[in-house]
Amino acid sequence: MTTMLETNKDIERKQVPVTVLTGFLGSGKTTLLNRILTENHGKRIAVIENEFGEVGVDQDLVIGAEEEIFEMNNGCICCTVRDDLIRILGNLMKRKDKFDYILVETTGLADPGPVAQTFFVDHDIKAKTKLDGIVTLVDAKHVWQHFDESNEVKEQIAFADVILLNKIDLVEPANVDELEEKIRRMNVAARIIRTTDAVVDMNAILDIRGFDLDHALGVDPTFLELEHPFEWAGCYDLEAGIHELRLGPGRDATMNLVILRIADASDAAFAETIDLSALLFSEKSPFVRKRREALAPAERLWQLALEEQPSVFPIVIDTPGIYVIFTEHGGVEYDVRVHNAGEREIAPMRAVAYKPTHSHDATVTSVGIDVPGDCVEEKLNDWFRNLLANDGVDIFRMKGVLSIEKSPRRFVFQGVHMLFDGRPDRPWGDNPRRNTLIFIGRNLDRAKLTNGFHACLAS
Amino acid sequence: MPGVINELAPVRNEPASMPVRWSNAIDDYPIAVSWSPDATLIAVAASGGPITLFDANSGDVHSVLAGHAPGTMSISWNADGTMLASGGQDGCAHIWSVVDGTELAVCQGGSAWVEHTAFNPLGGTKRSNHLLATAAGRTLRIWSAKGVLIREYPEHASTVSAIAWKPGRQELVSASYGTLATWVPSQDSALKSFHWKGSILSIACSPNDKFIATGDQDCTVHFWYTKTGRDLQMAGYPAKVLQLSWDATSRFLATGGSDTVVVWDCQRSPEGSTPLQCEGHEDFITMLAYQHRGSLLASTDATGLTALWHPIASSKPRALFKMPDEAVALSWNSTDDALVVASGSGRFNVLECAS
Repeated sequence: MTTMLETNKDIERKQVPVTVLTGFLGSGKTTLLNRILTENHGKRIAVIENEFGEVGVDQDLVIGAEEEIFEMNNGCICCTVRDDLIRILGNLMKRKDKFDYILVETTGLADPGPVAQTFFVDHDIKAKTKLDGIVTLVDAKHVWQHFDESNEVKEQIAFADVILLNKIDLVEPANVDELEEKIRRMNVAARIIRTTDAVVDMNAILDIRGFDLDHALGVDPTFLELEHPFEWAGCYDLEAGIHELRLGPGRDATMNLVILRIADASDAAFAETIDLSALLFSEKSPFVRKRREALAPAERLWQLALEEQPSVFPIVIDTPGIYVIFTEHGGVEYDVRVHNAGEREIAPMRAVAYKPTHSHDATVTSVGIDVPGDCVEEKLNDWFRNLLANDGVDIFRMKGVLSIEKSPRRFVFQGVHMLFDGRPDRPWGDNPRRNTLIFIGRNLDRAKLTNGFHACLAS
Repeated sequence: MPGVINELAPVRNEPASMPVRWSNAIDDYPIAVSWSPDATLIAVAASGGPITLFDANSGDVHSVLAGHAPGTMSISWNADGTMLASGGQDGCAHIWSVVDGTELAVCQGGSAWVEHTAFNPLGGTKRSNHLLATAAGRTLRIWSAKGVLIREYPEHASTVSAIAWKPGRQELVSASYGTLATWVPSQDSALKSFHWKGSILSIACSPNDKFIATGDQDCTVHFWYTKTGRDLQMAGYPAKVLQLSWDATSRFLATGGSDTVVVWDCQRSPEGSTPLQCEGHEDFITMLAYQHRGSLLASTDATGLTALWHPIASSKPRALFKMPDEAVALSWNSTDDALVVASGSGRFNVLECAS
């Protein structure tokens, strides 16, 4: 076994790393390219770009390429690849003793999918090069206008291992914070770096091993904890009786919510309830309530129909105690209030706003799943096969570590669209066995993904 | 009793080792080796540019042609071996005089890499037979032996991925994404074009002009009937198929794309037939070539192994030769008794292959 691993590493050493640079026109790709080429890193670099003449340093080779994107059908896998890249990389590999690194610059409007898939499907390219990472430049000043009018900028963000928020000197700091927050919601796995004139440490963008299975869990699980299917929670001390929940109108005509009994208003009690609530929020068929129809604390998801004017729903409390209400949308935005039987408003003991993950305007999002336990291998295979066949088009990147029943070793995977790459990794040892997955894509159905994966767990 | 034992002992046909006539090296990756049609010279093109001509008998350097900066991509001999054409990353094709190493003509076609060059092997005394075809980007061109542009065909819809002259004819075949087309020097429009939704990488025309075989990115081989345009698809290869070679009789097509040499028998139709499978390579096939007239097939692989086969007689190799690193180029001499194989390190060997 040791010998095999060594052999694999030997092969790996011969593979020339490739970094893909994406970003809109004006985001600073050429500046970054020039910076990489002139930086004293001792590497001989070949650049494949779509325009000639903008960069070039004596010892490097700059090749102009016209993006030729073709559909490839091979058995059950259907994907798009860059034919021109296969040809040019194939030629460069014949001079590999002279190049240590290859940079591929895409056009401003490019979907990074075909570039990434090229490294999965061609036998020669797989044998001799390895995709190191996708670096996306974002023009911090002008990107806002592109969010609305183009899918490409979102795709470029979704595919990235590293995102450079460039030109921050032209934008107010609060604006950059907001932008970073928005981008973080689209791609929780990427490293986000703020730059001016694309000044960045080369170690942050080259040799980052973003597609390397050994680094598949470069995912920080704390990002996953930030994600909740609800935006707000309020904690109330309620007596027995019939209370009233009042909600104002908002952007949505419905509001999903969960009401649960909670031990107290402490952090520990909250943490426990949050997990249960998140699970309830993934219910496919919520209990629908129209105005004046009663609610009660229960392990179920309610869906309230909202009206133009404030809507009122009775809450039936049998046992006095502390209760928490989780709401799909912001509690302030929808003016969520609780009144007692005597029409007096009850102030929450505690109210928490959660970062919205299911943001209303973003079609590109990340879905993280982090759950202890073991998967049943056959169920997992079926789930992945169906998922990639049906939704692979919308999954841009995925990666994760899985705990498979009866296997002492971690299973690591990563993939692009329908292309899946996975293998057993080091043993779990004393570490708690759990499953951590991240999907980044378009119109991802969080509940479907979460429920689908939960169904693969051994009961 | 010993006699009986002898009779029962299995006949062991261990493959022979191919004797090395001579070997030499260039200090670069050889993108092509090619034996001149008169068998006197071997051209070795370096990835970095220069093309070295070696005396095929002694192994000494005959002359060095400058080639292309920053890289040469293809070479082709003319029919009588007096001229060598080359294409490169400078966007040009060059025609060299082999006798004195001078550059006879520079064919300029823009900035795109000239990835493919092919002299028509038709030859003969008619000057008009000695035509050079080049492909750069989406453009296919035909030049006279003096470097005069005879025809620039309308742009292909995508990059031209392979070209080949039909054996014994003044007819050229080109491949690009989704299209296989045939052309003649006398007109702009294609004689015939065949369509299929996929990326075609390599072409081999059967000597009898019945088939054009193609190797494809999606791990298939296609047979196109030249008369009707009917198309047979052979799937199941583990990788893209770059290596194709017809035998002289047009009955067998040898194909790579895996670690097994797969030989299709086209006597009736390859459709539904079980191909011959030649097993003995240790890694993916890198090059394949049948003899010009004989029935022996040479193949090389990524571990540096060269194998000589007589596919119709045996699925096992009859002779082997091993180099320490990946074999990347292969060429038979015109008398079919020797072949040259080159490895990625630049070393190449001339091997005896008596039929």
